[in-house]
Amino acid sequence: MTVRMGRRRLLGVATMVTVAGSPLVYLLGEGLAQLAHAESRSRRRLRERLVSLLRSGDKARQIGRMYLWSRSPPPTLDELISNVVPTIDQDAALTSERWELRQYVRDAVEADYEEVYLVPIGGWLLSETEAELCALTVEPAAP
Amino acid sequence: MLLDARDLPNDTELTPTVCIAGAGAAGITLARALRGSGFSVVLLEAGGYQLEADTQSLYEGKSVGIPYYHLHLTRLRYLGGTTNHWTGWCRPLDTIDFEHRPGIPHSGWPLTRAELDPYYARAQAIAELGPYDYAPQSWAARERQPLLPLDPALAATALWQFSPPTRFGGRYRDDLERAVDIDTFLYANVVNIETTSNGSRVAAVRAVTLDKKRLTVRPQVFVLALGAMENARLLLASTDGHPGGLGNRNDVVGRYFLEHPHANLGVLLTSASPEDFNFYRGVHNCRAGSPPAIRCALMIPEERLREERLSGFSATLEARIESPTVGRDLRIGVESLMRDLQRTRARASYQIFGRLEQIPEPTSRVYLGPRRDRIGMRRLILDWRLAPQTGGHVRRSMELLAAAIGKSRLGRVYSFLHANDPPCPARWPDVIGGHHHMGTTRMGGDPRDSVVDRDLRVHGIENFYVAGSSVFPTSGFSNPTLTIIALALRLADHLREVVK
Repeated sequence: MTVRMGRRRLLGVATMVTVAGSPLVYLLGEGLAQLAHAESRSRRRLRERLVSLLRSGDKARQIGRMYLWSRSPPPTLDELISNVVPTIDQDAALTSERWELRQYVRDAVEADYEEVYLVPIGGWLLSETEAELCALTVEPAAP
Repeated sequence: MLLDARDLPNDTELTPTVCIAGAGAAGITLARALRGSGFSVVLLEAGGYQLEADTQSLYEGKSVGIPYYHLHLTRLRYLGGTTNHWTGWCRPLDTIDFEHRPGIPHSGWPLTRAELDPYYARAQAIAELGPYDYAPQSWAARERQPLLPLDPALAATALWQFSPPTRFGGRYRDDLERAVDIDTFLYANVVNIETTSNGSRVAAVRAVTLDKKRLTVRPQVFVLALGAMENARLLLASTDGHPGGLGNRNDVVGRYFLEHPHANLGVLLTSASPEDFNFYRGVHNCRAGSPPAIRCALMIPEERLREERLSGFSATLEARIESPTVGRDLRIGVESLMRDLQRTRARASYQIFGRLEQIPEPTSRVYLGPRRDRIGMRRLILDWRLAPQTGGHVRRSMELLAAAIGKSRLGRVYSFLHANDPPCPARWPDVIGGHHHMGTTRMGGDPRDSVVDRDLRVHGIENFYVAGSSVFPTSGFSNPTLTIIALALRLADHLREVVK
């Protein structure tokens, strides 16, 4: 049997590594608050960049709301961002050209379709990345 | 020779080598294939040359399961049988359809596609089709039409050839008329099959005309070819020495009734041009004067079905929908996603019409009701049911189809089954049958869950065979007629070998 390492699974592994490594960050002490602040700023920027790819905000919000409503519990903003752009790629995503970011998301969407990571939204079968991207246009619960 | 049973003296007895009950696709193919074998063949047909109300009414029955067509309208009782109103769709079953498949209970034929291939090839000419080639690539090249660039792990193209359609009664009537070794008796309704006292052989086949004339046939070999409903009906009605019906020691006759569930499954919102989809829409008559017509559908590839343990799935793209109402709330949002992320523009919507394989289910069945028809036969009751896992299989197949469409930047899919979350079988879209009746005398190696063996011989009765789609243990999604013909040809070869 072929073992496939899909993007989602890769993302899960990356998240586990991040979570497992986070106590070490705490041990670093002093710079923690500043680091968190900087991180939060860059996440906000990344979210804005991602949302700007969608030209029709209202329609995307409608899909995003339905997606969030279908998830229990609904994902946090950080989780949504990390799902669309894994942590490891986030720095690059912040500084990339707009077309590069669009290409990145497009590849992620098509990888979702290839791996059949789909979510039904009101009967439409969308890629999970598409739905998560739409959900970024909504104000989800804070992490 | 064609004869009218009503003109025979009452209580006529015939002693042919082979008696075939039913002159439809199976019976006529078998009789013709036995010409020149040295056998004398009697072919019994209940009707005449055309539809007659009093004969057709013998098919009346009742449906108590999933809503179904009137039983006297879904099949025809005259020379040529139900080929008199078939639409001609032909496609062999796929290799996977013959396999025992984990996840598909009661699946597995006791023969393979490779064993049936030579007969399929011969069946092509009988149904007046083109070459035995169902590869979409070769037809696309021939027709200079593009195939959709689908990821082969997710979806593929299925192709049907169309028979003109061949009306077996009209098309082969002259053959039957001229055949010196085939006597076809019209208006002969078979009402009972009698066995020897130990039940190991068919001793006599009793038939009557509507004006109550009796005809008895004492053949060396008897073949039942009345269609999947009537085959079961006659076996269940033949109770002399067999209280539950002939061949029904294990209560299998009439069970596992299969159809091809057809349902409107959703909508394809596509960015592709109408030209890109041309090969998948409507019937292509091919080059003028060069039959056959063909039609394409989308299907889930065999490897994927095996991997995910799914039943067969195909979907044709039907009417182009100018302004679909389904999924309208989100449609503009979905179109925006296509535009913003994949730089594609939604151009058209098509109805996705599923043509599905039914999972064998013993509670889906035909059985005898209390009412009788005018020749004293108990009328049939059909209880068509789908296995509980059907909805899940179709949902997953729709996801695979949507994945293939999305991956290839062809559009997005709206699915009725997913609009009804959480999944609930009661909210299935309206399912209809395809007038394909199968499975009621299924083929298998074990008499506990089958009626006939791989040679189509009824278990435990040495000179008794069944032909037609009632022997299909599973149905795939392909229309049954080509397989009916192929199996009849194979049965003819078998009889030539074993009957002395």
